[in-house]
Amino acid sequence: MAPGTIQPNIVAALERIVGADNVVRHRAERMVYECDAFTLVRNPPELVLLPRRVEHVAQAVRLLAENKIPFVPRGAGTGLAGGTVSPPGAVMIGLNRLTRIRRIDLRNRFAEVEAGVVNLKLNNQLAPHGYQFAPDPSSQMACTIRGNTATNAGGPHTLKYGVTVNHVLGLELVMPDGEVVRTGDASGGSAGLDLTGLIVGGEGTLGIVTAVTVRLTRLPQAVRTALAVFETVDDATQSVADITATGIVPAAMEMMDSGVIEAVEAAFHIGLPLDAGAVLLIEVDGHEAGIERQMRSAAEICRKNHARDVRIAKDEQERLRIWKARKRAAGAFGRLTTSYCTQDGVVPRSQLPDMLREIAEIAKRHGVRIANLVHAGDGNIHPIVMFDERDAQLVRRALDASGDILRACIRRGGTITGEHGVGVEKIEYMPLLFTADELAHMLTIRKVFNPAELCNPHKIFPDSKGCWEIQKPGKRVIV
Amino acid sequence: MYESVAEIVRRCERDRRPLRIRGGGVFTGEVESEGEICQTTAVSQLIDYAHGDMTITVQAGMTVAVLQNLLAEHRQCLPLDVPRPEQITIGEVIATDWRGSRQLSCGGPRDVLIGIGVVTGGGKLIRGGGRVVKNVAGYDLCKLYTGSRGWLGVIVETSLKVSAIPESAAAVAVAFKTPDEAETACAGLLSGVLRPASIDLLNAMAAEFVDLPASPLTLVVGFEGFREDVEAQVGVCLGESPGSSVELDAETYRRLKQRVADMAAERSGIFVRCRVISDRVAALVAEMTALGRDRGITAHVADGLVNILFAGDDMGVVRAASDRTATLGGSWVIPGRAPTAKGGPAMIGPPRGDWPLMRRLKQALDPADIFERGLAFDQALRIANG
Repeated sequence: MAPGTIQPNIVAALERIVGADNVVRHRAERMVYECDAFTLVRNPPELVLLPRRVEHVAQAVRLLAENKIPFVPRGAGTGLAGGTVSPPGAVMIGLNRLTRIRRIDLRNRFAEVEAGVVNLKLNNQLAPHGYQFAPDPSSQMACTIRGNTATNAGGPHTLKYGVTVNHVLGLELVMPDGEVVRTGDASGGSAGLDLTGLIVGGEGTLGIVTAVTVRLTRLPQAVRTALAVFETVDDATQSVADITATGIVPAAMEMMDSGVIEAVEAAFHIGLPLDAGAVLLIEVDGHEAGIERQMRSAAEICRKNHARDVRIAKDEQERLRIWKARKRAAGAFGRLTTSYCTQDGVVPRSQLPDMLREIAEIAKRHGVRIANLVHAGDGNIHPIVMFDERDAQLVRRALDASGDILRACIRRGGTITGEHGVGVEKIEYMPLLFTADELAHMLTIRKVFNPAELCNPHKIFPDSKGCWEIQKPGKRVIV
Repeated sequence: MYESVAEIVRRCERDRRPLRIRGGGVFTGEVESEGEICQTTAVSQLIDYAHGDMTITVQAGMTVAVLQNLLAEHRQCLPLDVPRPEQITIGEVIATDWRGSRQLSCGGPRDVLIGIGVVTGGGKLIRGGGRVVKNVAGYDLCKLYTGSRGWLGVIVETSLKVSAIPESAAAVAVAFKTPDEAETACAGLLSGVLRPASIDLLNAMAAEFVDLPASPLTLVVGFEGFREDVEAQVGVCLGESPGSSVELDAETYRRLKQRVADMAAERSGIFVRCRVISDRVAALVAEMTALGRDRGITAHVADGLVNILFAGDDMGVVRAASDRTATLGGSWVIPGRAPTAKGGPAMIGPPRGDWPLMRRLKQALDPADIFERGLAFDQALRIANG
């Protein structure tokens, strides 16, 4: 559908469904929704709906489907792969006003929450009772449960606690024809196919998740957090391997290289040493009895691998300071660069040292600066590729470097995305990861849910109808 | 590598014959089935074991025992408690999404499976996931095929993430007279400071089956991890229930978990697995015991899984269990062959609102309807009283 062609009567009907106060019409306001955190592909939607009730989502989708108007679901827009950028002529359906926590059942360890509930808000409500929703992406103060399920979000504590799909028991889904379906249930699985597991990570291409039954996990009785300082990235990654081999399952092992340290110190002045090659954040948690030995073992291993210093946080305040350095690291890059994109490759953990060396070579080859945040325990790298969006050549070099990184991940037996999703950013790499039969198989699945391809079209898979193009910086996308 | 499997699939599609998938036969047994048999034990090789990365890729016909022996050489294991590990294949475990005692702490098959290879319609080999522990590229085919019971294709290859063998393990067995007492104890365990690896509830028959004293209800609380951690938690657990509790050492605990799992593989009788929310488990165990028709009932309390081994082949009593489970908002599976089902595949229920969507997936991915034709997704349970 060409831009600007939604009929006035349809706009009026949508306003009647969701309420005029929940419709964003004016272009200047729609610009807010033109991209997510992947800013290289932008297009404001034709209209933005912000329904407050599930039945309004269903009615709106039914009307859009009847009129063959594509639509794009969105949570808070914190995605890093362009998963919620709107193709021309599409209506955006924002879920961020579906904010009810419908039910919390502590005995049975589940909660039913609407899609627009913010991850941290849910956790703040659970914490006083001694529970958490374990997935903790760094954007958790803004990202929604809808977004978490769309990308199967992870976060630093994935290492011990798993990713979003390990904590989703059931879904309420508005199908692309407007039908409301429930999958799974509070008991954690119904007999039959695992549709819940299939839909989580589907990036909104199989329907619109409007509510999620999440598994609650007990907060640990005890936690210990340490920051180890290394001269080299190799020493840090060797420590990761050695710690894992002992049988310790840390709650988190996060590595930041010198580029990240520079950004974090510039922004937050936490006291990280600017001359270090890498720092490793290690956290262990569990029952009080075993904690000290685990942290002592981890610290000894770091020292054996030439750690200059291992600081174990002495109190909760220090622990939170260490985490602040990690969780706000990406946001600190505004001090160093005007723009950046964050890659999300995964390699087998044993390949980390070589992969990080290869990233350094890639950076040099393309003349770009790349800093590395790494979920070291599970091999998930976040190279932060810096550039100036106003310079087309720098954009091109950044994209070429990103492509080389993803191709290297595939060559090393890894994958192109561990938690951010494919979105639009990585569509071109999908044929490098999957055969034609495998892509066709997944498209067959999509067709069952989304036969008219109206729900979040042109995402994840290469599309015969066209592809997203980044032309010049600032120029609007075409499909 | 899987051409022999692909050939069987193509033949069945051409001839419109159903395809029955058989691994180690733990659930399928020797029942005569209509259709052609695809015996997956022929594909049982190790493909890749990256012990430093704690991942392994094996063909689906490898038995769990062989897999565990490979892993044990590097002090690693697959933390799943499965029936007859020397017989059951990893493909069977994934296809049935078999969840055992340590579901609470280690998750189940869907949580350890990171990559899958499936021969689907047209004999095509489709791979999903990969060999890394985090992967969100494309749709999660690992989840789609886990628990699919052969309905969508033949699982031929699996990539799994493994764990270190815990340094120490032990358990505490606590006896109760009533389901309310047992439920109160479970609630306390799940909300307290202890972090059990497993919480299993056994009725009297099941307790005898696993060589424990036959109290009306027995809770077996397992702990795994570092030595001082296990010792401390066992101490707390014993202290909270003196008199009626006894400590079980690591070997006794291991044997008990195995015997609990093995109940599912008993040939005589009908094994039904029900799933309800956790706080209804003790009551359901007591109600089903009161029917007086079981050879043992166990439950993995935290995850709401209730395993009932009914004596004989009376489907009427199975209906009582399935109806009661459905009333409690749960679901049920007969993972093996029900004796009055004509060699057909497993039965599941009750019907749900998302079953039409499952049927549409089936029709799209298996248009010739050859894979385990007759699986009771879209039919109400048909019971022929014997």
